[in-house]
Amino acid sequence: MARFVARRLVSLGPVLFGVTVLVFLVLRLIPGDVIEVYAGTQVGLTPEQRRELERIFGMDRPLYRQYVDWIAGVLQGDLGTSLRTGRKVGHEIATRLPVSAELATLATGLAMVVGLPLGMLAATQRGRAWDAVARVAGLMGLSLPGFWLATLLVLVFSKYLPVGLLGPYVRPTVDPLANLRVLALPTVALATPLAAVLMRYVRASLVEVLGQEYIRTARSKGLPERVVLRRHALRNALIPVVTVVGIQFGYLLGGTVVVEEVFGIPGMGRLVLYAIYQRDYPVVQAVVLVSALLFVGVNLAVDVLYAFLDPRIRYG
Amino acid sequence: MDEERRRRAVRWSQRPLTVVGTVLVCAYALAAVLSPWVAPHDPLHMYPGLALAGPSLRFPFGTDEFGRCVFSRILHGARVSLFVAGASVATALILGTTVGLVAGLRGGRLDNVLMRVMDVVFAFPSVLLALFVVGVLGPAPAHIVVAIGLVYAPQFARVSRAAVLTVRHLEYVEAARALGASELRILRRHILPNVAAPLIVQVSLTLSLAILTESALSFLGLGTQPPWPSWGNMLSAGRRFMELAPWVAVFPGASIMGIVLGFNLLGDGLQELLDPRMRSEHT
Repeated sequence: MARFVARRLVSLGPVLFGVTVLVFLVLRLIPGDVIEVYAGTQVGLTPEQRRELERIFGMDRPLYRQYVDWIAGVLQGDLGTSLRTGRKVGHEIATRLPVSAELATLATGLAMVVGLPLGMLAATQRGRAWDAVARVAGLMGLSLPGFWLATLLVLVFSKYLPVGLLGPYVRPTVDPLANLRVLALPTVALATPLAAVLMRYVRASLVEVLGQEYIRTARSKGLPERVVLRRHALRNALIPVVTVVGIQFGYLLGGTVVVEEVFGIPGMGRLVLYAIYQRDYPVVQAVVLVSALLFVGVNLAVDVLYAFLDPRIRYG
Repeated sequence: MDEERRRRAVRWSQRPLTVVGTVLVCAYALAAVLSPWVAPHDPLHMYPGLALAGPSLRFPFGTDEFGRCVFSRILHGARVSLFVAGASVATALILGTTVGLVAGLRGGRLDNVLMRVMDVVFAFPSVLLALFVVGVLGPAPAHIVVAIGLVYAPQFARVSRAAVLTVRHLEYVEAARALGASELRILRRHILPNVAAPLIVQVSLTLSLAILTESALSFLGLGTQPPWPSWGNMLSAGRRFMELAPWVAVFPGASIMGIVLGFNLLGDGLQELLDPRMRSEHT
């Protein structure tokens, strides 16, 4: 097991390097450059002022040097400084990340509570009415644009059902109940497509397992269907589902731009969106990097968990 | 061959969901092509005094906050959304398949390097990467196509590489090689036909993702720019007036869902049709 983890960590090296290079290089593609953005349009810079700013931003040095300096800073926990507020981006992310993390956890949890049982139901009733209903519902959920669902929820709960589920964000440390109340609709908006994905995945996985020889053996031993399902089929069918849940959770963790924007939730997604609107590139760079690192980290955790659950992977 | 084709057509028509998907996709494609002729109004024309009018015979989906016909704007929006999504998926297909074929055929170190590069792109949450690229480059249609194309290229690389690896050393390919066929001929005659089936499925599913991504970008103000209609920017503008006029938010979103559902149904159907393992599962 330790060797498996070590091997995965080593293979992660080049990917992490590539991620940082990509984030670094995309920002060099800005039309004009960071200095023009920083100075704004209202002032004409003299060449001296321009050189002074280039020196401050470190842009007078060669490209590889700028990259090395940036990475050195990142490794020491310095993610840069906002061009607009002058605050450290690290602080900003530290206040935003828990908000996105809470929302991601709630949404993944709800999606599992809905998606797993529906997937099992569809697989065990394959070809019958429930299966058809679940499959169509799954496809609808998969095709529903998240921002449209979020918008419709806002419309319904502001105009037709004003039961107090909409309102400004409240921190859980201030009022846990009010916090859950304002997160209820965003959670539903995020969980719906995710539940559809899970449902389809569980169904496919369980259908495949139920066709295996050892299931027939278990049935022919005279075991009740419930035991066959719980002890033999589900254990194997749910292992690959771990991967899907993990990937989706990692995806949500980095912020869900659209849903956070519609409901006005101050998470990572809104942070990066407003940084893009204001052309605050150090913030954009830092948030994209942190989200990608979180995504990679969660995927690694999922791989390790997967290997732990399924020995075939470890020795494969 | 004809017999096989006939059998496929029969299987096709026996799957109602696949038929629905095909009809949906064809209807949207027709709307996109014919919109200048079938739209009842000019999508940019503002009718004074008719802002936020409800659905009627004259305006089937009502009017928006400037008194423009929502139905006509949705028909023209189909053009924008389908064109951007189509161009993005074409970019992803060409880029990803080239990388996948080269990696699979050459193998060795080149394979390793190319697939690690694809892993890097894969390491980003997809919408965030598209948002990042478009946010930095600016919201021009070409930038959106490049951003979405880049985001979805790795899937095509993986699918085509996997297909190449499974057929590359099969006996009939080795036989062709032993007969002195050139690598190019082997690629064209023996490998591409085998790669085509999984790629077609991937194209259909990626089209639905590309439409969702394009409309999310437009919704956030980073996609198609007003006054040109796209479903995403219509929904985003309509959001402010939806308590007065729900139709300005409901119809653009429903349009997106319709075409995405169409491509998903079609993709599922194609997968079952083209993948013999899936087929036997149902018989």
